[in-house]
Amino acid sequence: MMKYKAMLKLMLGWVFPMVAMTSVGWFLLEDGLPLLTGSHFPASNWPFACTFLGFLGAVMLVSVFVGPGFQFGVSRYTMTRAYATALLIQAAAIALMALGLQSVAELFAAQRQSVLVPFAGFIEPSITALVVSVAYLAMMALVGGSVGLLFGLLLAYVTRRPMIILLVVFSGLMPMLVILIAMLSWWGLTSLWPAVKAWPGYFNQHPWLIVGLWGVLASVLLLLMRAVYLRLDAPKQVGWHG
Amino acid sequence: MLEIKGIEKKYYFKPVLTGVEMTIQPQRIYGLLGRNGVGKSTLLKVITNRARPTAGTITLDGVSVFENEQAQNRLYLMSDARLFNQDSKLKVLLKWVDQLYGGFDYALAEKLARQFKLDLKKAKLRRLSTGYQTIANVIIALCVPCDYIFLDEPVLGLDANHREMFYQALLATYAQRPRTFVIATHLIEEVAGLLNDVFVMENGQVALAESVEALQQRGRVVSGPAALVQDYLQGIKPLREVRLGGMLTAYTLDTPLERPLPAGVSLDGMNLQQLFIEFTREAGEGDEV
Repeated sequence: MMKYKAMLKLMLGWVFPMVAMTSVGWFLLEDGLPLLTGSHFPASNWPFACTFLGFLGAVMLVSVFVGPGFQFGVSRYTMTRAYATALLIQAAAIALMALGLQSVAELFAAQRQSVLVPFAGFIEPSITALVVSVAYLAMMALVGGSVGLLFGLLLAYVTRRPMIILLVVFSGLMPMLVILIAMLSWWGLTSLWPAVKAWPGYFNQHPWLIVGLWGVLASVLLLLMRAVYLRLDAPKQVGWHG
Repeated sequence: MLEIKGIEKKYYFKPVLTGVEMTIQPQRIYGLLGRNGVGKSTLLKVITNRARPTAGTITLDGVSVFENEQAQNRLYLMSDARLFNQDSKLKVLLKWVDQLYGGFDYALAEKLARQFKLDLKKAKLRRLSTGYQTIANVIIALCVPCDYIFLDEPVLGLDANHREMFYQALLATYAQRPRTFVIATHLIEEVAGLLNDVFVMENGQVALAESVEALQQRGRVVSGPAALVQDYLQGIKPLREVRLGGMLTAYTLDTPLERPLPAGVSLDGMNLQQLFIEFTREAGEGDEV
């Protein structure tokens, strides 16, 4: 328990500044510049941003903590627990940051338009809409984080050198890969089974269902991450360089 | 007591450890010797849970150490693996160690840092030279509150003065707080004076486990006229024989000290390094240059 608490504390000391920096960075790039130049209404794709920021945070977590975990005699079980908890907290922090930053953007926007809540049933602001939005964004961040963790640990498993540089490069490629896979899957599914085209509309009417589905996906990914970590030997080296 | 039984380890189907058996007693200083690639570092990684064994058991006072944090909290491995964030300041690193092990000896760390002229407060690991990175790792290893400290090549990159300072520091901290040290090194001559016992590894196994005193007692160089030396060592297979004309020099671990030494035959001792070289020499190795 001592090592779990200590490791989690160290991870969170890394997670919070990381989330603050990356989400503000994203916001400035995506919304800040258009706002300053007045070119168009800012419209961050926050669900996508949360997935990406979750992924980025997770690969950083792997790179920074997988070494000390082994160096300081922390068991693999404890490390997977600490990683999972840190990812959950990171996901919540990313969702709240996204919400806060979007609110800032809307304050400055000439025309109020909610782009945060992606569901048809929640166009009007309400407490339920807020809760669903945060839960949805957090799940997206958790899915991104789980993929990042799994990816980082697989890299550590195969190469025994989970370098940050490699992870960051791949974290740039990963969203493109995910989008490509999603597009191909959608095309394949709708070609084979046209009734699938009605699904997005259905999910829009039942937002909790989609939150739940993302949650299930994140849980499966976290279980896979655990399976990889339990088979992991200490890497030879961690950090920026190979 | 740390008991290692039948430890095997394969990396991608390549066997590195092939059935290691050893017992490490509390409060002793051991040398873990072996030629390059025999599995010394891998064995230390397996003991400290960094690498998963393919087979075998390791117990600390009867309890398995694998995935056991209570047991692992009593073991510490210092190696050249760069598992810390290299951009961390040393003071942050020490704080991490303290949080994860508890009871880190800051006073000793500061004292050692002063001796080695290392600034713990400002220095960052990445900016240190190889030697000073080793010094930082050594300081941590000497100040963690663990009962079993494993040092894998602890003087890598250290100059002769710093090596001497390290050996003195190790003995001083050992005298103040006796615990077990297992030192894996190739600088046998330098550490020989520190060691109580040695393990010599060959082909992924422990081939020799003995106290330094007993080993030095057993290891002898017998030289003289070939016929007389052969007669003296009758029934004994030396580690190596070197013939020069009619003279024979035999290196052996089984000197028959009870037999009377023939006139013209000399009997000399072997230091630990010589003994190691003869013990681990492969057939034909070094005969031709």
